[in-house]
Amino acid sequence: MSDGHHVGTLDWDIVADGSDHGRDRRSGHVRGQNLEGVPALVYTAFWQQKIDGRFDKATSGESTSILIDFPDFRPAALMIISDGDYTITPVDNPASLLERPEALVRVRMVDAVKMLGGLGPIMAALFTGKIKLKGLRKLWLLVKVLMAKEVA
Amino acid sequence: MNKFERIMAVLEHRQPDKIPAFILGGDFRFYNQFMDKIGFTPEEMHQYAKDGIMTGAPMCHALAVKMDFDCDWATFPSMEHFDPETHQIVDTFGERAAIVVNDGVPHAWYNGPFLTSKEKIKAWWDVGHPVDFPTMLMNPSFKIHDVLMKKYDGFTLFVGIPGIYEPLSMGIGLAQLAKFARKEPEFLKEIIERNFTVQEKALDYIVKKKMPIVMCGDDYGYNEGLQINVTQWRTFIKPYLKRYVNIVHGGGAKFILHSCGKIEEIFPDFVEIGIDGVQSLQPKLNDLPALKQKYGEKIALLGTIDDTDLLVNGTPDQVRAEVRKSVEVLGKNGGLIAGGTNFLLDTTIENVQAMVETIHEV
Repeated sequence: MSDGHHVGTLDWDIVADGSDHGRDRRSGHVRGQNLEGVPALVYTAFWQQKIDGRFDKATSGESTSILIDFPDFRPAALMIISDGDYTITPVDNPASLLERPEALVRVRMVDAVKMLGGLGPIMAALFTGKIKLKGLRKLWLLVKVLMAKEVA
Repeated sequence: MNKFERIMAVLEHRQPDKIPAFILGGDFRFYNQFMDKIGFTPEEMHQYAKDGIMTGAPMCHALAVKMDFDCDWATFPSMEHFDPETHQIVDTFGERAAIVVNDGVPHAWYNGPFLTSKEKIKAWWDVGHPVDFPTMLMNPSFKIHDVLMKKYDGFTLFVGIPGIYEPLSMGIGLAQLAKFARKEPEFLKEIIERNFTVQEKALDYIVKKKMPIVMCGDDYGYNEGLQINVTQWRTFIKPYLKRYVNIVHGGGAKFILHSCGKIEEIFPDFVEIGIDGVQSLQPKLNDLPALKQKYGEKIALLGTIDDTDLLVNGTPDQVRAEVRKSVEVLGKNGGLIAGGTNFLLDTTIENVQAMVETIHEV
């Protein structure tokens, strides 16, 4: 696994702007944002931490971009973390992104759901390369959010 | 009495020192509202997160503790499957569900049955479904139960799995269920029996973990009455519900059923098979004073406060008056754990606060 400057052999030709359009800073969610599939799952995974202030604290001063991609269940989710906040952009074709995300999680959904079966399937997926992780230092930020105990 | 002792007094038909308050859960929108209007202090957040009770909506135990409820619920999800041909996430009983984000707030939706024909059901079995509940997703709740009990004055987490009917009707569809019930009852029984094999294992696992109260959700009712006719419910569902109860009682735990809608027609059946308490009990759909009078000494009532209108559209004063009136009748001599009937969604925070305060005051 590399540290994430190169994500496979992808070419990137779409830039996610990570803009704050319509963002409600008070409650943290993006007004009018409608998502389905993987982008909705990723958005939801961190929504509560955003609403209660743990996301802001855990990612304060950090900015990064993370692509979460299930190749058999697209669109993928491009997560832009910036200034204690995040946006999720659906990406139909990750190969066409212009700017390369700093980190990547890639696993087929058919394998991902099997990991719910326990530690065994998770370890097996890691050791057999079914799950690809790049940019581990940036991905650690997500773990930090999920384990956060302090609020901004 | 601490919260647990109070709850057990209700379920054992003894007089509690005050009526306990129950929350089934607070949906994403309710959590958003809670954080806007009440929220947690940094010290509370630190402690709750450290204790592992900052769990995700709709079952955030920290919210239930902060709002002074006595008990809440965690229901364990079944194993998921991804169907690469249709690009759908399906649970092991055939239920299609999805998370969607609408106007910035997440919502969980039921998207219909996946097993829409006899051939699909058999093919589903051929690839190994139904499979066991993932214990990895169950284990954290047992630890949370113990923490809540020890550190939060006996706050009690009810745990459980879905019942028999709901996974069945959502997995194969209500129309197909009705068709099989009339034309192929043996095949319908086979589906139920196969589902039960994994449900039984999950219940065994829960009682082995020494959880004192098991609550399983199985919505039998529409607003107008039962979703299937009462004869079919008694033929296909009741025997398995009884087996749920027996497993839980065999482990020394109490069994509570959550079931929405107008279900009073099968209340005698609940009593007959030994259910300890029934939750939801929508007051606009069921004659609760009559149920209390007839069965109140044999089965506890849970929920009973209208969250379709009163908690949504009423004022806190109206809520106090209505809750007092209801609790005085339904909580006479105990036998009541009061609260909303379902996940709190668009109920106002002020009304929920007024409800909890009044429940404890009466």
